[in-house]
Amino acid sequence: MLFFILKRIAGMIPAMLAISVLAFVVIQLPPGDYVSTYAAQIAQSGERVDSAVLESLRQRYGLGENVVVQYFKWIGGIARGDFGDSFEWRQPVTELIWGRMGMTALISLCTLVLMWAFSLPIGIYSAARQYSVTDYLSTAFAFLAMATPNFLLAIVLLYITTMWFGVSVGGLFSPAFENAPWSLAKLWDFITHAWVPIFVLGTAGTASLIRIMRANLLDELHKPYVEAGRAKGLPEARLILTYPTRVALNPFISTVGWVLPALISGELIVSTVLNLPTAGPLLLQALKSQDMYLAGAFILLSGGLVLIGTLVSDILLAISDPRIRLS
Amino acid sequence: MKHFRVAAMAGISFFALATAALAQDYKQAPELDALVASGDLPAVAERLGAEPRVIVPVGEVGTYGGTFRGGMVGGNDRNMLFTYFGYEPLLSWDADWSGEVVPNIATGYSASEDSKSFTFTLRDGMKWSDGSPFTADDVAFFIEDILPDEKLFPSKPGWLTVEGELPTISVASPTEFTISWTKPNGLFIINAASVYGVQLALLNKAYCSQFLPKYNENADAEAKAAGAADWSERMVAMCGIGIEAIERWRNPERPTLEAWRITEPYEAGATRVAFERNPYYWKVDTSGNQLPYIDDLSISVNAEAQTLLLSVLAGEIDYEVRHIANPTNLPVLAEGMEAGSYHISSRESRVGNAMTISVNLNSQDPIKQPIFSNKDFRIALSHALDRQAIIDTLYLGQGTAQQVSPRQGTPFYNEKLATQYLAYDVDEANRLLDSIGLDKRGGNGMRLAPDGSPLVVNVAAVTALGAMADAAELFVQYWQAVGIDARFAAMDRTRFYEEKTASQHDIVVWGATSGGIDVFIDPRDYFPFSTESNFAIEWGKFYTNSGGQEPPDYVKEQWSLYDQIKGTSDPEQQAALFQQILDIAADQFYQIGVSTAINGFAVVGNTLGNVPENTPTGWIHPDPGTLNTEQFYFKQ
Repeated sequence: MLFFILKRIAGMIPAMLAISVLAFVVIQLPPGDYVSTYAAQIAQSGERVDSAVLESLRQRYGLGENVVVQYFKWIGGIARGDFGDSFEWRQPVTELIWGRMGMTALISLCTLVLMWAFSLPIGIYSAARQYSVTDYLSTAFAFLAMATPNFLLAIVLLYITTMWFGVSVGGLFSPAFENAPWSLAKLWDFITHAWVPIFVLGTAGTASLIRIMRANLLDELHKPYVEAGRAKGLPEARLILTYPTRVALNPFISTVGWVLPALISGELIVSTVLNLPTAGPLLLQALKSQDMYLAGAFILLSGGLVLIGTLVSDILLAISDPRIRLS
Repeated sequence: MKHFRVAAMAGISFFALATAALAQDYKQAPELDALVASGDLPAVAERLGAEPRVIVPVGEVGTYGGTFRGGMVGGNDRNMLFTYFGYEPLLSWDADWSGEVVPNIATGYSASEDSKSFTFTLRDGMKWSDGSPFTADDVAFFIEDILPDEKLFPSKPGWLTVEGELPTISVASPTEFTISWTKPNGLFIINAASVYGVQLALLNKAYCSQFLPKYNENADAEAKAAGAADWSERMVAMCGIGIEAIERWRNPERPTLEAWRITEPYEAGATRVAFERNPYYWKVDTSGNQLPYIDDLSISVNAEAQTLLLSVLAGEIDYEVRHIANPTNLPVLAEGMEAGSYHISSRESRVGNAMTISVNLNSQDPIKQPIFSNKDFRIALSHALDRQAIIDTLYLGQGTAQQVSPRQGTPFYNEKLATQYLAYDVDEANRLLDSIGLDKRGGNGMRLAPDGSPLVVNVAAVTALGAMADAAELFVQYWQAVGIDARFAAMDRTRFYEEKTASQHDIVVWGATSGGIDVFIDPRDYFPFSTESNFAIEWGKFYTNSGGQEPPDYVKEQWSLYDQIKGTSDPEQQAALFQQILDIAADQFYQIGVSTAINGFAVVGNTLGNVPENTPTGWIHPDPGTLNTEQFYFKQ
């Protein structure tokens, strides 16, 4: 088992390097650089900047250099734990990302847990009671929720709360707690705010997991071993949960790998709409202003999360399903 | 022999002195009473100094208290804080922006006859937010130690240099200093009253000098211990230095002269920036109440302008003039006024036109260059536009047809420049185009270049700036109607800038810049002045000594006139010289305009008091900073 995990981790290294090259290329693709974006931005609001200032900025940030040189400088710094400086914030990228990535991880994890907590039992129930009223209800909900883009859900929620109740639900904290240290009161404040993004982010995922669980279980329910168990007089609930559910969980676990990145990329749009202090809006802003090291760090870390998600799902699969050969 | 220009200010200065005699009558915010009683803070009269600036409230004397709620967007919106709460120049302009300069940090100034030296008088006993005295030494610290330093100030601001020469300063007393050059700098005072003037009194010597090796031999070692690369990086991080530096809003310890001091900084991933009142603020109202009225500021940092818009609609913002105050949002803002408990307050834009159409005189295309340089070509393009129809479509009929020109009612208005070639006259446009060798037509009915090749003219505008792109699409249709194969090129902001800076554009549509007293500071629309003079960027580069092409004599004539303006500080003479510059601009017809500037607006919460209406705004006369945000208050 240990050897299997080590082998998997070793395989992640070239993948990570490939991601870093890709991230860097993507950031370089749009025309211009941070300085020209900056010049255009401030000119738009009627402000002025000397071309000498722009030139000194470009030099300061090393933007005139060869792209390959820039890449190796960047990746070399990362190997030493230095992600470079954010041009826009004029602060080291590491200071910027950890708090934001932490918040993203927290929201994503909460969402993931809640998604499973709801979709598993509902999926099992609607498979076991196929074509019952509950099954139709859950199916109707699942199709609706899957078809609604989550950013739209966020906008509708924002519109309703702003226009009808006169409060805006954006953000993760009330202004009073925003920069305060963690405390019980702040935790409660977080919970009262966090249900909105968790609900928005989790709805579509929950719906699709309900469908997956239901379909998987239906495939198993009519297999002979279930019939055999039933014929031997096993109680229905215990029968379903002990045998077909375990088998049906297999594809469920392998989705962990993509649920994590899907949550994070879905989070980008939702967080921007809901104004959450997570990685998404910062990444979007960094891409728009061509703040390349900041954007690069986020893309790299998101890529890393995909790899970790895949690793976790591989390990979980190996544990849950003895049929999977570790070699 | 010096000639004094303090007469205009004398009234205000005497007034300040008159109230100073009643020092015992000064009142302060209730939250400060307790601090004074416990001995943590000196008495209000002592904090204010001998001659605080007296602000006449816009509406009425306000009451203390409340938290101002504002919003910014993204990580680089530092100039929101600057234009709202950071406008404290040495001198300032009057609120009407007529060009009159009034006292602010300085009580007055005098200029030498030859405009080479300027003497300022400061307020006796004025203090920084930490209680340390503000004196001429603080200004000298900037001029002598910061400005010349290559690391701290790699590019010197144009208004502080005369032909590359930096100013010198002599300090006569703690309240009097003289800034001088060996050559005249007649526009110095106008600049010192603009946003740029904030630079001179931004740094507290006592605090900031500790980061300089000159004053502290351990500065470099201390900087490295604090994690900075060297002392200059540490200095910038702690003191900000530049007026537009984001670091200005980072360090709560840095003493300031502003009405509020920062408590929760604008830094890595902040979602809120907060300020508290500066107990040493040096302004009072007419009843002797120390300003500001408002206790605290709470500014949200939003991911997107749309979330800010929602906050405004929910009534969670007290004043907003950036990001969301644009015509696109006007309908939704108007609809939500009652529910959000705010109103829309008009702001007068003082630029020279609603937009500029710049034909590239420096085109690198050998076929297009002679066509674009032909004045008749540009006249034809101008006559081809039905301005009234465009104004009705884009601006709902606000605005009057006009070329790019300083505004009517200012001493800089030039009738010929403003009103020539405005008529919608398709026949005349066709006649002119035929007469300059564009009389041959291709298979698609469009005019061919004199050598018989198709003449395609790209009209670029930035899509993110909705109005410009909409306008460009209209222009293209009008020009096609007279046989010019004009095509609209929608561009991303960055690409637009890259192309035009490299002079690769044909025609660009962009905003006009100056139209009042600010024509002296940024005359980019009236002669090739910088790389922002979109009609002749190569000549602009030549002017700023960054390459480019040598221009014809009439441009050099304009440059020499501008030098003469800098050589005098007599406003009438300056205006007369500027008229000569404009005469040449009118003869050359550099740019095509559409309409007089279209007014903007601010969203103002209904409880916010002392907010004037219809005030002028622009980058160098920023809104709401020039409205004196310290006298805003919350109605009970």
